[in-house]
Amino acid sequence: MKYFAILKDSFREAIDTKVMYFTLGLSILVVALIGSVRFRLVTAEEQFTRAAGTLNWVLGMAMPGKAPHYAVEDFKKLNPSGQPWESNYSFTYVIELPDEKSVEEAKRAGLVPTANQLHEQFGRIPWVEQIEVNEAKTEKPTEFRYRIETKGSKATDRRAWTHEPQLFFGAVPLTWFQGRLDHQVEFITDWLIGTFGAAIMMLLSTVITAFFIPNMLRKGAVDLMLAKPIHRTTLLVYKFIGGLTFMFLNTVVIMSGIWLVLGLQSHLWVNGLLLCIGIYTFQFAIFYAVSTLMAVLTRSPVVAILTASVLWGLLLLIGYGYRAIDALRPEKLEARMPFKKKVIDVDEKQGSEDPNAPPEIRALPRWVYVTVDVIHFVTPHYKDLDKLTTKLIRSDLIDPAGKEREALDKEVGSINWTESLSVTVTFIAVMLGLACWRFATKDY
Amino acid sequence: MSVIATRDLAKQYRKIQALRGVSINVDPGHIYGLLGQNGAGKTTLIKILLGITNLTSGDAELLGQPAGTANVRRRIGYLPEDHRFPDYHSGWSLLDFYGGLLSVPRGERHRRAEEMLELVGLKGRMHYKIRTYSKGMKQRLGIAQAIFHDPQVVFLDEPTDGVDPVGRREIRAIMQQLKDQGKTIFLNSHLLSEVELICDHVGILQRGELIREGDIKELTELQGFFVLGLAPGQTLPRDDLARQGYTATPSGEHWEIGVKDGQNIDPVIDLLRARGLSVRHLVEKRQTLEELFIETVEEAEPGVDRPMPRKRK
Repeated sequence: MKYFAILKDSFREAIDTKVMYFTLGLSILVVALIGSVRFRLVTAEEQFTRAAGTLNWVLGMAMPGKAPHYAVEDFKKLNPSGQPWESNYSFTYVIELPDEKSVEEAKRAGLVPTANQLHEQFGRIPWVEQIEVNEAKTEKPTEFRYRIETKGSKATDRRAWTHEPQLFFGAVPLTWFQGRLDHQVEFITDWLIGTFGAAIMMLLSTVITAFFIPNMLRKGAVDLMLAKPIHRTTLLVYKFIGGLTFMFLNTVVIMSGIWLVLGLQSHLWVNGLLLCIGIYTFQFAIFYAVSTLMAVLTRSPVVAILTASVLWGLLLLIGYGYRAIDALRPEKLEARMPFKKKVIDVDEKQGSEDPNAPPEIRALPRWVYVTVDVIHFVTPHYKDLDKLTTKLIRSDLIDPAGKEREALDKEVGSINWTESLSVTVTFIAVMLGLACWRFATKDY
Repeated sequence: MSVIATRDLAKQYRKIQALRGVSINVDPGHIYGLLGQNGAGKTTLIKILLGITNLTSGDAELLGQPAGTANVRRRIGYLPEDHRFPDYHSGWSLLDFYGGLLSVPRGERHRRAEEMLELVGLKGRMHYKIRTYSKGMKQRLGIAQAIFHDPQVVFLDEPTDGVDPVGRREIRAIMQQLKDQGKTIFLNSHLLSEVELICDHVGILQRGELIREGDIKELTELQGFFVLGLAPGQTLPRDDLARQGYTATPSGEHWEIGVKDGQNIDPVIDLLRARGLSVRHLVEKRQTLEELFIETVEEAEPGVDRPMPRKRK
């Protein structure tokens, strides 16, 4: 009952300051914006026509009046009943030059490709499995025609097929962002939401919740709370959990909202988004524990916000720094070298003076690794959790047997999760423990 | 058994000795008034009893248990001085919140909240935000939250601060009602006239030291002085009284009669009647609490409440 009373009080406070409305409004706006995105399936004909059109536009700008004109004609879907990614296609690719004089010049410039060159060019289209390019007859000396036929498709389902995102229920087509559906959903979920959105959410929640404890500790207010039959430690822990619950519910709204609207629009259900709710709340617990400690020590929300924000920046820096330095360890450098080079440990040897000695790579001084290891070990492994959210989100979108997935698994698998989680939990416990100890022993 | 008991209670805030060996006992059902100048240690004493501040040495007990434990706090109510309620609450939601912290069941919370707010005259504004309340209204709300859970002991630190005379009277009535219900009230106040009207016992704190304590009637009683009034136009036979060993000094329309040890006032009445004079007024003279307070503080530390002389540069 006491916990719910405190939680309800924290919500009342957040609602009263209007920040809660702002955050909730922002979350709903983001969900609505993403919900308004339509993914229009782009037909194969459109794709080839668009490629020709892009070429016309670029060359038209570069060589006004002299540029060849590319066109797709007589496009046929060879099995009309099948899905676009299950069909074979045939069409005629036409290159027309403005006059006879420019034919040779265009050929020299590679603007009139040969059948082989066209085979190579169209073969680069991601979903094209096989392609046949044959020169076709033409009556005009300034015209070149190629009969092209695609056979089979690398795209096994809708997700690998090209789609065009359109904002506001199709009102604003984002033609330049055409691409594989799963890549588009990945961009929205992993980058827009998982990275950028999560950062904003973390910052906003830090600001909002930073007022909860200092307000409770204000002179005249704290006496009223402390006179109630509740242990100080329990009170502070409940307040802490109240802050976490605030973040959790906010994350639930935005993540489940995005999961739902994106799933309905794209038919790709990124279930990892839902799993990330818990991880984001855990990440927030790191900053909120520090914010709580500073709030108890100083009773100042500003100090609490600043400290939590600085810690956030520091942890990101430590995470990136650790990975960068870790990649420069002698054994890792040696393993990565395409040809054998000797890695020099600068603490033992200052390089070779022998001109015939094999090429050398200098590793960093040993104290750098030790320092980075110690800093990384004692601080919460925030970046590891970041990697985990990336994996959870991307796992639902990338090919489970592909190289991308393999690299992702390898990266996340290389993290020592026992160390990562225990250090992070210990950090939170120490911060919260210090805050509780100070709160429990302080005279108010 | 005392409801509130402290023994040699001391509190040291770094270089400041806030309390020095304070020993008090408050019996059940009594209203105890603690008087003292600003910074005398009154609030510190309450905070120690409630566990808001830790004691440095000595003992403090509330309801027979060590002061400040959560179990004890369940049975006490508290209105702090200069309290600041979270202003995002309404009067009703504040009581609901505090009731939740006191583990009062939901239904009872709602019922009690309305009752209490009606008792302190805030029912009509109970769903308004506290930030719209006047100081007096906040003070009434403070009283309501202090007695919300039907506590056995109520600590009130300056309860009538900022309250208009009508409101003060209402608060006094509530305190009297609580006393009638057998509750014990511990009152800190600067308003000595208020304390005099309501308290049974008082203690005077001076620089952290309890310099006087006792029953309010006994403390304010002046041994050997009576105020006497005769019918209009009659003259007091001062010389005759002086011959019998009584002193008589005019005090407005009345006379102040001094009675020596071992004497009583009856011979004076007999003498006046024998002279055919009519006694219209006769009371034993008392000090006001304010007079007692000033006198006690002055005796303990002469000149302590006067402004410090300015230092010359």
